[in-house]
Amino acid sequence: MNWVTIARAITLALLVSAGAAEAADAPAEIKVGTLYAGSGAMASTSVPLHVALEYWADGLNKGGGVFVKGFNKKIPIKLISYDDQSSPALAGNLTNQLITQDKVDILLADSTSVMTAASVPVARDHKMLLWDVTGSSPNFFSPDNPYIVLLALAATDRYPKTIADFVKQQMPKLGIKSVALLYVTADYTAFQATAVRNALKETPEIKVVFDRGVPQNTSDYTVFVNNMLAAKPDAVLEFGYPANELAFLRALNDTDSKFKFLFTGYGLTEQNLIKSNGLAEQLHHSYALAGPGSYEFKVNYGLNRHQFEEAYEHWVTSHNIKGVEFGYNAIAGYQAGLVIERSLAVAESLDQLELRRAAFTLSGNLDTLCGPFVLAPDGSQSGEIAPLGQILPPAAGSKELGLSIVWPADLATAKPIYPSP
Amino acid sequence: MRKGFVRETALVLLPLVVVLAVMPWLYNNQLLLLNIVVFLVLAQGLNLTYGFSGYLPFGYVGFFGAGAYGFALTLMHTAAPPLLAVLVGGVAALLAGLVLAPLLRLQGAYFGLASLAAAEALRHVIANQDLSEITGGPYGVRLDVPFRPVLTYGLAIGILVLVMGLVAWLRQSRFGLRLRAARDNPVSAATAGIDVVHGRLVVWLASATAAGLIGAVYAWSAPTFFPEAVFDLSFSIFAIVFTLFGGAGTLVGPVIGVVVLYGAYNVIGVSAPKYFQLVYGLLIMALVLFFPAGLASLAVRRRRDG
Amino acid sequence: MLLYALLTGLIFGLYFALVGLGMNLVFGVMRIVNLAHGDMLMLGAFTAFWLMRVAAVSPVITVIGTFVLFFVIGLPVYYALVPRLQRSREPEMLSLILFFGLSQVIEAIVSLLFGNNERSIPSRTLGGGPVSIFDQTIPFPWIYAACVSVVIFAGVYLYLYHTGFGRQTRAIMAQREEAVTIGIDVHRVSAVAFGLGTALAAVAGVFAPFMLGSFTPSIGVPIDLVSFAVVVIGSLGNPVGTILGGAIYGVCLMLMRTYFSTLADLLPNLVLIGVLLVRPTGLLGRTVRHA
Repeated sequence: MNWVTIARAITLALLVSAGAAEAADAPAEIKVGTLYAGSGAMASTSVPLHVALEYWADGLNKGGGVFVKGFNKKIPIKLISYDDQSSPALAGNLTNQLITQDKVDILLADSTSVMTAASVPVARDHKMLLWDVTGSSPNFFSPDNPYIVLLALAATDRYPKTIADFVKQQMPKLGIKSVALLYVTADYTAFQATAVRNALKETPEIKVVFDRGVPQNTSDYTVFVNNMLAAKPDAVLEFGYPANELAFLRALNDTDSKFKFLFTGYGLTEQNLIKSNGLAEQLHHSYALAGPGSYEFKVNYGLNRHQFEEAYEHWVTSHNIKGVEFGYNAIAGYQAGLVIERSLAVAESLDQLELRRAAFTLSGNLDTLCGPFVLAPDGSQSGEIAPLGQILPPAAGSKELGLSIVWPADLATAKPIYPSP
Repeated sequence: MRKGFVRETALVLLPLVVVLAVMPWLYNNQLLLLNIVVFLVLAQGLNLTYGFSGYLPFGYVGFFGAGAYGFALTLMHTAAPPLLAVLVGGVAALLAGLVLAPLLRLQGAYFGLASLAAAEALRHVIANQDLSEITGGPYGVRLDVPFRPVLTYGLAIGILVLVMGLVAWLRQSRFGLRLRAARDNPVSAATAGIDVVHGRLVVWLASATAAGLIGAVYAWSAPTFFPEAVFDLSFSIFAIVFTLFGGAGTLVGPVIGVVVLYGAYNVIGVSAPKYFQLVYGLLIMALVLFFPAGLASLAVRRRRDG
Repeated sequence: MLLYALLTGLIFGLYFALVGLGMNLVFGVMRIVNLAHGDMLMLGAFTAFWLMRVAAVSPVITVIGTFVLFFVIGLPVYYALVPRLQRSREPEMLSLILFFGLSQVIEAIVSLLFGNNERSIPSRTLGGGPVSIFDQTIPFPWIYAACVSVVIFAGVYLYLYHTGFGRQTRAIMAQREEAVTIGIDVHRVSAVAFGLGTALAAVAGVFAPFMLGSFTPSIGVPIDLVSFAVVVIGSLGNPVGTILGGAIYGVCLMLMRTYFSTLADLLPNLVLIGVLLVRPTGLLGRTVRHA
């Protein structure tokens, strides 16, 4: 054996081990960590979203996993989920647990702004990108924090754009002269009411005759409906969370009240829930933002709304999951999965800032069932703005409520029917 | 008397502080460690008022929230450094305690429920939309405060040492003994001419201040929050459950309560997330039914028997 | 608007008096702060949901059936938990933890079995449309719930003041030790009171799907908070006071909603504190005693 042979052998050994090292670099699984509220006040919004994530991960794993560009192969997903019980303090702990103990590659927040708030600083401090699903509070986004992207909902200050524009540009044309505002004084709903109020300030021909904020746990709207009737508004705009909407529609129902123009925050977004509570009739001829739960956006990736609804309901039935309704939150969970999946297909590595860069390459190019995905430079969502729809009574022989889009002009399919018959 | 103070401090407080100080090297979920200290302070703070005067404030979280918002508002509206803002948090809670002092006229469950109503009222005022310009209202707050995990953890331990030092001192001092006598038998204590009212007010204010200080530290470590988060009723419930379970009026009881129950809480939360609430609820019920006097009393009984 | 606020406040308050009544009875007899009260109510709401919405059982039978069912459920719960609890040194305070645990268990089981989404029952299930009183439109379910509440108050009053068992119950409420010495079987009387408390919560729960817009497994804690306010304003351990507490709570709430709606949640809390500062044991409380 001479030196050359030895050198060759050493080189070979080095090459082999280097090759082995490279193969070992690709992880056996991509760890996706998330929180959900299995109980407490947030459970009814959080659970459907989490179920959708499980559906998404399962679908990918059946196909061999998610394609990760950095390793140029498919890798199975491991979904690690903890129950935060609707407690922000616990959510902070568990987010830290996901980062420091489970060492997840992808970190998702629980739904709603209140719960997401607990994860935002933790993710930032650990330089982990937070995949924020529905936490849309403007408080979370600032130019100096690159560790957050908002996936499934336009930021709260942009979301009400359509209704605000409609108020300014269309309401006077319809002959609406007075408006009543009723809103829940929580982050998300109060922002929307503020946007509408500002639009009304710029519209001197419309008077605000009633403007009331109510606490979020308001479960009975009878007095408010009565007092609004007394103010005789041409149009009523109501912003609440799903439980508030149910209470509001029930008060309309129980007092036989009707308004000439009624806008509700969740009339379309959570229509299935409203139907299953037997309040669909109250929605006839009312207006709502046609969020992804009811409006069929053109998609260039993933299932469209209709296909997803079928798949989701099949998943819920076949897994015997009780008390979960298809609606906006289910879509949001699936949307989060889609964006993550596309980002991994683009990212050169699992480095957190590289993942952020990858998510930004999708901005403006990805159209899903949530609408066009557009990120603002601070990571907040500025696409996914829903058009304004008017809900119509079911056509003869059908049980499904009808829908026409009335604003913005380029998407409109019909003129608003005003006053409602 | 002095001997007892030194012995308890050496046997309970010192080892606890050493363990807490070493933990960050052994376990790197710093936020969990911080939360353990937060609950230790809340449990010992509650122990101050319940253990020495018999008042059980269900609304104890009100002081915690007052501290968190005292801290937040100081940073939002002044150029004060965070450390000063923590002190302001403590002062805010102290003031809230003074305002609520008339509630000490009430007894038993009346007092507990009135303090709960007070905490809820404070939350509704802070979360009120008309005060958004000042408090952030329903939109919550975001603080631009530097992330200093070592400092906040150290501060929390410092506050814990103060509170536990006070508990240990009260257990041995004549002042504390008088209070406890009044707690166990208000009639005879009152006739003995002891200024019970004054003493109760002092522990009440100390208890409020402790919750306020730790609330401020909590806000520092989780600087984006909504009013719901820092006025979350589960802070009160947990502090009460931990204290009563461990044994009120003792120094070691609340520590045992937090370590065992909060420990179990986090272990179950991570290992069986789906059955989290169920298992934890069953655990709490079983403990009350089978160890109704708290674990600390069990230890004391053993020692007496042996 | 003022008249409407007063009228709906009174009716709403009557219902909330029913919500608090069971909690107060249990506290009065056993000195137990029942944090699982709201969860019993939630179970009643689920029962009503299945009976009335799914099985189309009539409202009257649902109310009676729920009452009987939960009375029977309450008895074994009493014997499993309370006697053991009362052997401890501070049962009143420990009851808080024990029933907090029970409330967690109930909520967890219901969530696991039935899920968390909002459920309700259409108002027409009760029959009847909006009712006009003094020219004011009141929802029919409110009238129904208020009438049932009145019937139940009358029933509880008759039970407490005109039956032997009821007199024994009041004897225990007034002086537990003396009741024991004169030979009253405290456990039997208490078990019945606990069963009644559970049944009253469940019957209040039958109307929750109508009065609260919708319900979920996690409505327990908010219900407990309201019950506390109603019960404490009227006096702990005094079932008659609960009606007064309910009325005050309801009227205050509706007035606030009418004139200062963003502060609607603040007022009941301030009223509670205000009442206690003037009368430390509630409006109908007796002289200071150790509650």
